[in-house]
Amino acid sequence: MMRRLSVVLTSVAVLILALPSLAQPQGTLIRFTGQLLDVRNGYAYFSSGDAFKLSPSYKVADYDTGASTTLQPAAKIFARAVLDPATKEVVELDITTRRLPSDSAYSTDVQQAIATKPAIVLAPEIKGIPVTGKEVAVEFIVTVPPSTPVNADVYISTDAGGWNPQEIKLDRVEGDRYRAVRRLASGTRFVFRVTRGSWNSVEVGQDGLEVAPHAFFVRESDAQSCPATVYAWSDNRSGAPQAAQPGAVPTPFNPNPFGGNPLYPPSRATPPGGFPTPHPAPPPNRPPP
Amino acid sequence: MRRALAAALVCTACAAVPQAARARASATLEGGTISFFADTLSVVARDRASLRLIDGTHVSGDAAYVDLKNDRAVLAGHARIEHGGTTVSADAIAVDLDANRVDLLDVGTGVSRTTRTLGSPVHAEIDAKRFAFPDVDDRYAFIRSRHAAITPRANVRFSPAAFPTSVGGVPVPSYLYTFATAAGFGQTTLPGATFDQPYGLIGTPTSLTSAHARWENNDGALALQEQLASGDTAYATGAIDAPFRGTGSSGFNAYQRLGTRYTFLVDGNAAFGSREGDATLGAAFGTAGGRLTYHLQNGGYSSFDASLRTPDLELVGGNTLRLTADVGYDAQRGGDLYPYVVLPGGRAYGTVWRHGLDAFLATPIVHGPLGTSIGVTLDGSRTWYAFPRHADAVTASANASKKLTRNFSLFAGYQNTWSSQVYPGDQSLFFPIPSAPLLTPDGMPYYGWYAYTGAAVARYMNLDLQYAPPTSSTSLRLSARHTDDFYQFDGLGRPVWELRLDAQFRPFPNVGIALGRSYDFGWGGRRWLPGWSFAITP
Repeated sequence: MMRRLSVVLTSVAVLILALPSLAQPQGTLIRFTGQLLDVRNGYAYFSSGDAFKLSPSYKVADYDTGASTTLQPAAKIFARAVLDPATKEVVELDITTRRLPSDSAYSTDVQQAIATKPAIVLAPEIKGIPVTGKEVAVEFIVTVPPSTPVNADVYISTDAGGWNPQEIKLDRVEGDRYRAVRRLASGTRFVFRVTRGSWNSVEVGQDGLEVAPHAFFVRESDAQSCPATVYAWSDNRSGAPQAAQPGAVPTPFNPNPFGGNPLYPPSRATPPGGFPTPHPAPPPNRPPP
Repeated sequence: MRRALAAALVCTACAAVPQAARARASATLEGGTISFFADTLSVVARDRASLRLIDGTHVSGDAAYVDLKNDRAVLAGHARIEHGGTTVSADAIAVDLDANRVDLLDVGTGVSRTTRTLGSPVHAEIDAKRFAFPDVDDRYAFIRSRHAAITPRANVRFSPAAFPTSVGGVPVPSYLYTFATAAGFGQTTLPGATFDQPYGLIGTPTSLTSAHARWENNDGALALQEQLASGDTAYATGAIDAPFRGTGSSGFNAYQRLGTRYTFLVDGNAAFGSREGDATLGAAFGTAGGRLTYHLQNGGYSSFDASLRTPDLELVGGNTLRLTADVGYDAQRGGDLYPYVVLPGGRAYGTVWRHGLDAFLATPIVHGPLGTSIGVTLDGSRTWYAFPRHADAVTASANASKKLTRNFSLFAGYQNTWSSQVYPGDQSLFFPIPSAPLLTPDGMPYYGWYAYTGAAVARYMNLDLQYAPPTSSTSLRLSARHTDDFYQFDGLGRPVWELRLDAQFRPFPNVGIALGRSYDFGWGGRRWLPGWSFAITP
């Protein structure tokens, strides 16, 4: 009874702690990427069911180059709509025939509370942009290589966090992409590496050697994205046939075929007080007569 | 015991070496309250701040801001700077911690620039970055103190130190925070632990000696670690864990980048009476690579591998192929190399050479209808041994994802690994039918072991439902995982079914909580086995 009560109390405490973060603002849409269904009557319709009003002077540009294009927005074309957060109208439509993954980017409510012009206008003789330390929503997007295990957890490790290999856990957003959002003060500067939870499984370069950490700086902006690509993992030896070491190959002559293998975790399944049957002596490490 | 004591003494002696070369703190900051922000690496002092530099310069003001990343300080409000009996006052003063420049801001006359000797100031334009004093909220400080000794590009020592936003952070008389950026400081040879709280003892821009309070194997332990780093090109790390306990371990590693093409890594560890070490030379030729590895462990076993790897070769449709060739040997001093020891003339086998080939094929992530995407990999390898024997392994994996809504996503994964040991003509000798059933660690007989004749298979599949709003750091993930392995028996191996719920959220801006609840089914002879996981993240 006491155990159940403690579980209930713990759950309530966790829920109370979680509520503030669950109630975080969603922000205003500033970019939307998807496949166009139609563009008519001043609206752009996407195959996802989303529709956005077009600004009277919206610009059509090539998705890759940003230059003007002869391609016209039409059904089946993929497009990225750039919205003006103030008017919530599409001011630019970047289009391509290449398939684009669905995506959307949001500004934060902090942005809505900020005046469109700085409250304090710097004197012309003042140069440089001061770092105010305001909160900036930073999105880390990490693309991982195909050799990443199917159930892998991916983390970011920073020098500011003492190189803890599990400092920032990323959420999976696609088969090969992971993401995390953090609110960091502008002026935050750190270097980071991508890990799979330990320093034995850290990112390496395309050439298989260690790479310098990624440098990152939080600018004086409302939102910022930080993309990073992992080419390979340091523990990825899929390309190297493994040598068999003593005990690694389980045969009936191996006195401990199940032990010492990382595939098998320690016996945390052992019930309190141990198993009822005493452990027998292992079979001898000799061939049968 | 004597051995553990000797190891501890050696470690202590090693730790003392960098103390002689310790960089002296070049600035000390005092104030009524000092707040340290780990994210921006900044220190804010209020209630009469006082900054003393190593050359005797003393700067004071109502408040001070020290930017540790850029080695600069700003003192604002009734600011004064003194050096060699000369005193200058201003509304704000900006100084470099390890350079000579001093900027004086007077709201009436503008900015003038001088040096620490306070010679004649010259008029200068206002540089906003020099006088930036972020409006930070002291409630979110990581450390609160009254005295900070700063060593540029290395560390800052707070005395005393309180941790207002860290759950479980106990106030201490002195705390060393290291912000040296060399990635070598991330290297450790300490084994994994349920809890590990490092405590910096001595630090320089290139070294750090730290004690660790740990909880591992359901027991508390102390560890000592020494880290040396030279930029991102070289590091050396040594650690001793739980030296006064029977389960203590120790290890070291060292890394050196040799130009743009080569790296050298050596490491070793000792635990539970077992000692082993590796030396690896890595090489890159464009995006192709090679590796030489020598492995040595106690008992006389050693191995050598030389491998060459192609770059990821682009095939049609965006598929990629990578080939690897490997040659090497396994050796046992005095003969009796495993598993040839089972042969009547087993002692003759002291060294057996081998060579292998591996192919790794990967498809790109293919986007399908209804927002789905899928990627597939296939990895196959064969190793031939000088003895009539070969080993095969084939792994196929696929993962698929689908975005259900803006916040919800579905992921599925499948992996199948098949491996086989083949001894032509001698299979029954190496894999005979046991005369008695194999008894597993829980005492139960495992009759399925009779079926094992060298080929094993491991199958894994998972289905995850994830809630992760794009603008929030809160996420929930519900996972169902199933394994179907041969050989697997009653708690030996991976659980047959596993259900997990993981939650991540941030109750405070600089504190995150990761909470997990898991149930393992059909494992260890029990119907189900619950488990918790809990972590506090920065």
